Amino acid sequence: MICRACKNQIENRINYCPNCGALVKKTEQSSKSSHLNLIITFYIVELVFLITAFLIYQEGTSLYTEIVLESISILIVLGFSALDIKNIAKLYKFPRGNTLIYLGVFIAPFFTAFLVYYTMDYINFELFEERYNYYADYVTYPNSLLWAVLFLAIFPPVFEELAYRGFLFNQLQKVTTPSVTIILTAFIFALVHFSVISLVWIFPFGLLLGYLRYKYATLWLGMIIHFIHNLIVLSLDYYYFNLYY
Amino acid sequence: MEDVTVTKILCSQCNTEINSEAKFCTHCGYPENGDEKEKAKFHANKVMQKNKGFNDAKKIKSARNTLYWMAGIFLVSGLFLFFTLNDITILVANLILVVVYLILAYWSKQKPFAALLSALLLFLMVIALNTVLDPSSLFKGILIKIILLSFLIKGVYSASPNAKR
Repeated sequence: MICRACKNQIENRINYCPNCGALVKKTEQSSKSSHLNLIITFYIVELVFLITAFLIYQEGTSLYTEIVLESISILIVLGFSALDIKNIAKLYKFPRGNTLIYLGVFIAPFFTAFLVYYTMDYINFELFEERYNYYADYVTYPNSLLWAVLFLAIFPPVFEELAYRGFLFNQLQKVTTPSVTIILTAFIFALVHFSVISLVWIFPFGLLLGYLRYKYATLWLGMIIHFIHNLIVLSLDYYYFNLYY
Repeated sequence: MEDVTVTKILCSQCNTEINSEAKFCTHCGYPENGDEKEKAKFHANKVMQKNKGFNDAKKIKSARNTLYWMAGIFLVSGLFLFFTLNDITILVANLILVVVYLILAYWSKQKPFAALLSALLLFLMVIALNTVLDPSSLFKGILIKIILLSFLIKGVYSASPNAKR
């Protein structure tokens, strides 16, 4: 190893150069704040995107705007992930086969989806006297079910897991402890769903996904749970939509 | 093998074994074989480092106080809007925020970094949500928003190097 300040040969694993007294240990603090900058930048970019998307939706929606906005959100996630591609690529390995885990991952979303669907429907109705149906947003488009499945059940699991359990998780892990990382990713995940009421269930859901990501170092388990959960919620919305309208 | 005898001495500051000819200790950077001026500089730096830690603790504390203030502001504005507009939704949302901020303020004693970062991100989200509901609200009370944000940001950056302690 060579000291950067005086260019003399020095030992590895020392804090200060014995010749010139310069600090040679990689300064933890500056690299930490660069991760922190990246985390906050990512969050602000997501917020600005969400506001713009929301304002555009208010102007009126069409399949065309839907596709454009969805593509932009995917590009944002891919762009940030590209900055840390080496570490994120490792997360796409399947964990060593433990059948019980896979069984749990396929069964758990049935409970979460039904529980969340009916409690949220109840709360929304009691508090705001309205019912929200995700599928209803897509009915006017041609091939409505296809687009609804793509935008509600396939894209969110793939790209939200990449963004929050992949990119954000890796960055936070470098600044803080694993438990705080799990809590913060879940919190941010809940925040960007843009609803104070959803904090109630998305936060624990995010904790579960974050824990699985931490324990098994893979994105697949989270993606499977997230996919089945969203698919069931969408199917229920589809079922009730056809029943009532 | 070449037999090189290097005499070792102990650093007077941190008791690390160092070469007797080396000017600086490789562990703490103390100029063991340096002149008085260099030694004075070392001690001055040490005091400055300590002060920085003290400043960080102060910034974290004022960020925590900011959280209590914000809980109060959300409570007052929630009640005000409830009695003027009679809007139960705003009241419920604000009360949830009050509870969340009180929890975060309490949590910031154990995990300052996590709690303050959450508070900062949540506040940005509240501003964003209000902007969506009413774009002109972004500039209402902008001075207070900037002050609160700057306290939170200072707190988060001061807490980040301490996060692993």
